[in-house]
Amino acid sequence: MKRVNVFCLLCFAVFFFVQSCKKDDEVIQNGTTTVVPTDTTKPFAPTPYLVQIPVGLPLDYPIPSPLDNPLTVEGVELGRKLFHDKILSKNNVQSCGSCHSQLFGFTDEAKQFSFGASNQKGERNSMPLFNLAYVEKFAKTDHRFFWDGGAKNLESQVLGPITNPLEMEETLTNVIDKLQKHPQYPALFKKAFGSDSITTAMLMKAIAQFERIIVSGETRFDYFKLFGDQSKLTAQEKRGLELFNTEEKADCFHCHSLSGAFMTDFLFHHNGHQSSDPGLGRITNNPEDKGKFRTPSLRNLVFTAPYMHDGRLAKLEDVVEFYNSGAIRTYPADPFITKHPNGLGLTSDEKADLVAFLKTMTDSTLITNTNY
Amino acid sequence: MKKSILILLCSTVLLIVQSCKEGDKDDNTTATSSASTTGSTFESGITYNSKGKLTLMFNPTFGAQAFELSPKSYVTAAADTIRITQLTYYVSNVTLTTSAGNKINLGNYELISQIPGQQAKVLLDSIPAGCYTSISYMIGVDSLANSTGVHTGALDPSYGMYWAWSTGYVFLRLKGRFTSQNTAYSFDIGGDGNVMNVNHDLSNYKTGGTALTANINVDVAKFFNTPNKYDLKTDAIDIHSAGVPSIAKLKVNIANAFNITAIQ
Ligand code: HEC
Ligand code: HEC
Repeated sequence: MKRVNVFCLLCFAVFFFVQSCKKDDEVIQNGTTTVVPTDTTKPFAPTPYLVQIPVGLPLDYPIPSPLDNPLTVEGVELGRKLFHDKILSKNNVQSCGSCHSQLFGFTDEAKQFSFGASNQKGERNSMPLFNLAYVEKFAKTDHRFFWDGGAKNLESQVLGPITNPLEMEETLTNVIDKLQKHPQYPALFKKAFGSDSITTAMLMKAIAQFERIIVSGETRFDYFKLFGDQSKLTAQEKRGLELFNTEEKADCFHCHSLSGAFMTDFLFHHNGHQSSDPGLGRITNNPEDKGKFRTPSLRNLVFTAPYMHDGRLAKLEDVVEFYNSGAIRTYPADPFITKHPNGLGLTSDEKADLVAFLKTMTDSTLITNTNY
Repeated sequence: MKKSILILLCSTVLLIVQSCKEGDKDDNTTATSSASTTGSTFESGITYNSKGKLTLMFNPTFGAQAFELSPKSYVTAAADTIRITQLTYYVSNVTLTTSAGNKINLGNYELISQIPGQQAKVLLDSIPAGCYTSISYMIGVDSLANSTGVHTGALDPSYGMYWAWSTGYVFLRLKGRFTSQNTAYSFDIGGDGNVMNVNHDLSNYKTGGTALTANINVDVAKFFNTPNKYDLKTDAIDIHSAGVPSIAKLKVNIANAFNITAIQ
């Protein structure tokens, strides 16, 4: 374990070095996006931020970050403060953390829908926030964040909740104005980005940096899978895993692939729900995409109830029963759902086994890590 | 990396200067800085003998009528009575093409708000010497700039020409009321596939100088008419995502609505 971590740190250091080299080129090619330090007496040199990669996540590269927004201690620190600050909302009543609470895997407690700055009801279930940098890396199209894949990257996603009339209901000009007049923020922005003249771009970058450091992958299932440690799963949990991976049984693995580290194929599917939400279809306007949502990770389900884009399923038992008997088995449902025209036919023991297995992908460090 | 960019740049400049020499039969040195319109001393297109400037002035009208915001009303080709409360758009990637076909992208991103009585202009500085026979630009932004929103200047998302729920800029916004039913219409055109490319042929202008101005008429009547008749009674009146089918008509019309009326 120790050795792995040291190796990781090394990777990071090398990566960071390479990144900062590349950044020089960026200055030449794209002057508009690069922040030039204003204080010439002290050169602007933020400290690289190193993330300890959990055992279950890929080790062959560090946290993926865009070249123009590398992780820095100062940037992450600022991003964390902003994420938890109500200043980003109308009347300063709500922070990102209000709907993304660490104790609940960064979802909105046990709520089906969230409520915005004026207590208005939202339309979808709040999403967990972890391993998001990998969504950016592995997504197969430009459609990445939100249930419907509307946001292309974490930087631009930040603007969604701030300006959404059902969420924080604030204008960007107001937010920048409030931050600029704040006693601390101008100095913090200067430390992170070299200038105390705050821009929307800096706000986006800081919060995105903080989100990228939230990682999760220390679970019993990871130790079982990676090191073959049989003691990590009970007999019941192993039976659940077997069902999960069996075509004629639960058949979950096509979409929630266990071969990678993220329990998703990073694609969009219609899983047989009966909701009228157009999902990906709202973004692409392609009738074929109607009702498709991004396959979510299955890590940390214990913390993130209720489930699905509309939060209509309260418990994991309900999720399993939905796939077993509730899902519609005709178009527009995905072929992996319609291939079981009579449902999955799981016995009640098998359903309990499957639920037990899903709970093995729980990483309690996600809710205790004090870096978040 | 640095070097190769430099070399590329050098060779482009070289090419442009060369092609001009080839194309110009007259002795250009006699026709220096005066923004002359006599034409006789210039080749087809617009000519800069040294580094020059070009100002694009965007002048909206509604057909032959002056452009005014609500409560002024206009009648479209489909006999809809409309009022306009906002016309805002991005102009980007202004590109000049020489007679030899070399393209030079001036790299601008500009946000134009058409407000009566206020000039809407794009200043293009440091245009390399050369003779240019066409100018093109995007109403909208290229897919690279459209992919993050992490930009300053005209591309700062705080101008409100930005979709955060479906990442990307609003390329053009036209909104107001459609008075026959007093309903709102609101067009936000965005999405990589919906960039509106405008191209102006300059070969009929035989002019040159160091600081030229191109007057561009933006005829809002054409948004509803040329070549596709846009009927607010049957076509979409609320466009807020990239895939609304009616955009196909509008984007062609809009690109057609930009026309150069004069270059001095
Ligand atoms: C009012 C509650 C609320 C607030 C406040 C809020 N969010 Fe969210 N968040 C949600 C909901 C609901 C979704 C799912 C929305 C959807 O898919 O349409 C979501 C989705 C996300 C996602 C997408 C995750 C993924 O896997 O695709 C990210 C990232 C995110 N929020 C970050 C933030 C940040 C950063 C802030 C503060 C600037 C914030 N949220 C404020 C409720 C909220
Ligand atoms: C066709 C692909 C597909 C198959 C097969 C599939 N899922 Fe899903 N799963 C999805 C999609 C897409 C969603 C999101 C749907 C939504 O939000 O409405 C989802 C959501 C979930 C969720 C909710 C996660 C959350 O964060 O809210 C759980 C739990 C889940 N699936 C477990 C399973 C199990 C267990 C199986 C096998 C019985 C399975 N899935 C089979 C695609 C699939």
